[in-house]
Amino acid sequence: MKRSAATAVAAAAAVLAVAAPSAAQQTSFDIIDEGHVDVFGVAYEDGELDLHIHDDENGVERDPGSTALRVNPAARTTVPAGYDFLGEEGDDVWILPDTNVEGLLFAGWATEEVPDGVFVDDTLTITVHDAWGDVDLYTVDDFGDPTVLFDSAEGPGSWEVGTGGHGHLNWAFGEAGGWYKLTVEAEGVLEDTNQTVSTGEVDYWFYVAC
Amino acid sequence: MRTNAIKAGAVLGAVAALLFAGQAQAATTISSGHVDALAFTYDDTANALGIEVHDETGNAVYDPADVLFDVHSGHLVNRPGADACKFDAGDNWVLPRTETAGLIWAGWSTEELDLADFGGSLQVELVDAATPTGGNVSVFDATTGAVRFHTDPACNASGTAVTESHHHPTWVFTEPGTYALTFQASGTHAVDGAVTSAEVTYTFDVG
Repeated sequence: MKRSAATAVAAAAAVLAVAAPSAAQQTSFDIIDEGHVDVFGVAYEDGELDLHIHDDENGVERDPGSTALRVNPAARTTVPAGYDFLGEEGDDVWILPDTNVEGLLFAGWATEEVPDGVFVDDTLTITVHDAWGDVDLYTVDDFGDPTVLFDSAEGPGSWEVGTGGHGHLNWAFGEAGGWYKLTVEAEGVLEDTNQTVSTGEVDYWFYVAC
Repeated sequence: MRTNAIKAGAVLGAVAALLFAGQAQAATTISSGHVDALAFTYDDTANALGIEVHDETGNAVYDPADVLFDVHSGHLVNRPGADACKFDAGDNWVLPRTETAGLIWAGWSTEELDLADFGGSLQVELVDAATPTGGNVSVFDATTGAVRFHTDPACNASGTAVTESHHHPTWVFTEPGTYALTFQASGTHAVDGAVTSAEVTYTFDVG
């Protein structure tokens, strides 16, 4: 954990308090808290890569900057043995799992709006640059062995995804009762020109409910 | 008591497997793709719970007795060490928890009924299991470590509460051979009361 959750919560509250007046004429945060959602939805259109949220539960696309991804209290569980990166075995942790659990977000990534043949090796790289608070993103194989993609205690984390693909992650948060901001970027190298195209850094907002 | 029940069940299961073998030519073989092996249904007119096989890749519905799951050599995974009640050291035949080309991706679903009408949960029991000598089946959630079904009574997982609308666990078969697994579902419907499905037997040809 890089910062205490209390600090992260305070910082989040401060940002929201500051942002609220200027955002008054905009729509407020939409909150989603269950169903299938491609959080890191990547699209390639008109020579640009774009990161957005595919909310499959409601059949809409959402702007990460105005969407709160709410982690419901039922996500609370304890750290299993062999998952040291999440904390001590038996500690509380809030996890959105990579399987569909009723009442929780079923959160993943998607590159289905990126055609094959445009990027080198039909591959993009997703990077989580930073997170407020204690956040881990990981996959789990058939036998329960995890692969950590991002650990906020270890700095930025990157992983490759195929174009035209879709996958799910486990999203673990170390504390409840606070906001978490994840700063995310997707990029790829164009087959034709060898130039790198990036979404730029995009902020995502999670709220872990008590 | 539980041990005896399971052993008796294993004998019944073996008989069922033999009977099944006699009509094997009628079976549909599933060897890959997305299949909700345990797709639970509810008929509120008859107050009857059912268990079907939904082949999501082939877009077909089958009676479990008419399906042969071909757990071919593509499912073979060698593990350096054992994990009690999950897998053996050495060879295991594994139905993966995530979709993998060429392999069976087997799960369960309650999408055909309204789970809320059953208090959010069905109880599903592995009532009988016939396995090759030394062979076991473990159905577990890799993310939590929870063993949902296991053929060895010592693993204390003869049944599970199904609370998911759609779920894909890891299935592990520890020896090659023919397995007959018999499941039964029960629940309490908010209006119609207690209901229990028929026992349905699944056949897996492993290795």
